[in-house]
Amino acid sequence: MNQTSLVDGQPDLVLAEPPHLVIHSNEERPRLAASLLAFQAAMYLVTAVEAAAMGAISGNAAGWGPSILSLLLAIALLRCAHRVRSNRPWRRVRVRVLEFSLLGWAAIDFALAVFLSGTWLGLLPTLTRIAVPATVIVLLARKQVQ
Amino acid sequence: MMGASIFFHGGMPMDGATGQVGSQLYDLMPEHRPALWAMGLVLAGGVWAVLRGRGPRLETFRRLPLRVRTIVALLLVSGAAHGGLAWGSTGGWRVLFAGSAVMAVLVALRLVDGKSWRLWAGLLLGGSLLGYWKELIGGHPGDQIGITVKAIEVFALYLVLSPSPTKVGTRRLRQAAATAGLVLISVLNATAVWAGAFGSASGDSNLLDHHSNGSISPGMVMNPSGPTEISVTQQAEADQLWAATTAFTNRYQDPSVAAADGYRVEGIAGNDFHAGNPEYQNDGLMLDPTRPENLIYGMGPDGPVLLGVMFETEGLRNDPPLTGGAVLDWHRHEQVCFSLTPPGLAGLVDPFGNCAAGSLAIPTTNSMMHVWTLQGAPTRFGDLDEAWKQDYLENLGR
Repeated sequence: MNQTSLVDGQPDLVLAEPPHLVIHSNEERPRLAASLLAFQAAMYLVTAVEAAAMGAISGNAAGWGPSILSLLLAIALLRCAHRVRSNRPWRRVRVRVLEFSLLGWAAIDFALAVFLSGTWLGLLPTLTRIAVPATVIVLLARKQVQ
Repeated sequence: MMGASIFFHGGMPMDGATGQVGSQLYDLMPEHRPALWAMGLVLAGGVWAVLRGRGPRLETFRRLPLRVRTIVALLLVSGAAHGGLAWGSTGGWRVLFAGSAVMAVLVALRLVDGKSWRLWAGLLLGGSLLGYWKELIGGHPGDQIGITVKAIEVFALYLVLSPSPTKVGTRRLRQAAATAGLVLISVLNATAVWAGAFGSASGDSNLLDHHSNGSISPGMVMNPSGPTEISVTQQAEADQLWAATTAFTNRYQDPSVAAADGYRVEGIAGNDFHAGNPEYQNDGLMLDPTRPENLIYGMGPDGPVLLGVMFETEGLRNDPPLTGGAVLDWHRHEQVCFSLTPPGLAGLVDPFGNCAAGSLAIPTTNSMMHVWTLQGAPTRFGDLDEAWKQDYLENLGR
């Protein structure tokens, strides 16, 4: 049985297997990338709430700018997740640009930490700020398996 | 030591053995280290098994949809972490952690075998998160291992709650609900971790222990300079420093005099206003009583009141001078977010390692030390009790 992919118009490979083994090769990777994008968005929403709380508690205006930026970034990531999940390939370029930007910002941050204080930022920053965007880029960049 | 600690506290050991004690939020509890190794082993073993291993279950696993394979992998990593935690625990904790590990493996096997798994996986992951939150809210601080495992479980739960691609009809609605759930769970998770970190903070490094109260506030690193024993000579040095600083800085009771010497006194407010002097902060001198890097003012009934000074070291990598030894109670700040929009401190690195967008993570600041020059203060160096400060300022006019 074949079905036409929304990604590239090519037929998806659907095996005659039990339901839990059915492979939708053209859609699996973007779907996982979309899930990671939503996870990233949730992380940035958390930082938006935290920075807003910090600004409110301390009266420090420096908390509000990052809070608003984080909120906007989270919305952008959620929109990207939706677009990737709905399988519109021409829009994936935007997602990759966004992810490369986040990766670049993380690279600057990590490099500054090493340069200024001679230290690595830690395990979770490595996972959430490097591993996750890198995985999204890889998932969206790999060629479709036919 | 450094091999493992590179992942924590910006690569600096914070176990007290080096005289440095920071929050467990950014650290790894020693009894949790087996969990780190277990996760690493399972990841490495999993990659090897998928690439090179043979067997009917592995064959089935390779043919599973990517989302399901990811859930299996995340469950096994979580199970490995709980197995490692069981290894490093005793009594009831060991049983609970071991039970979680076994459950994770069993649910992962259900996925591979094509049995019904969604409910079991949801119950296991949801229960694990709820149990962790209960401990945190009970005043037990989380550490990097616990937070990492919970982040993994939150993502796994999201994948479990997301509808199958083959689902028709309500798929969009269910996907939106799953994403809303992800956001809610992430916010609750972060709130619980912060509650645990701040709720357990006593500020007394002597109380630092494992699954009980007594931890440093997030963002603080206490006593970064060596031994805690105080010699007679060090006490004399500290007394001399306090006397010289108090005598010299008396002139700064008038903020306009401080401004003339380069201190940034504009906008004095509250009980703890730090007026920095950019020239003194970069003059190559440390602990000079005639050139303190910051003056500390509080707002009394009749205007600003000089409470003390704060000395700073220059450069992030320089240790504070040994003068006065542990009497001087130096501290640093760690995991600080510095905003560029607008420039200024924007809070702390969050439990998942992120700063808000548009800000940079600073793993460590330079060392700082307060000297309280006002007469009758309960302490001359280090932390001055906020309530005492408040009372002092309010009673000045009476």
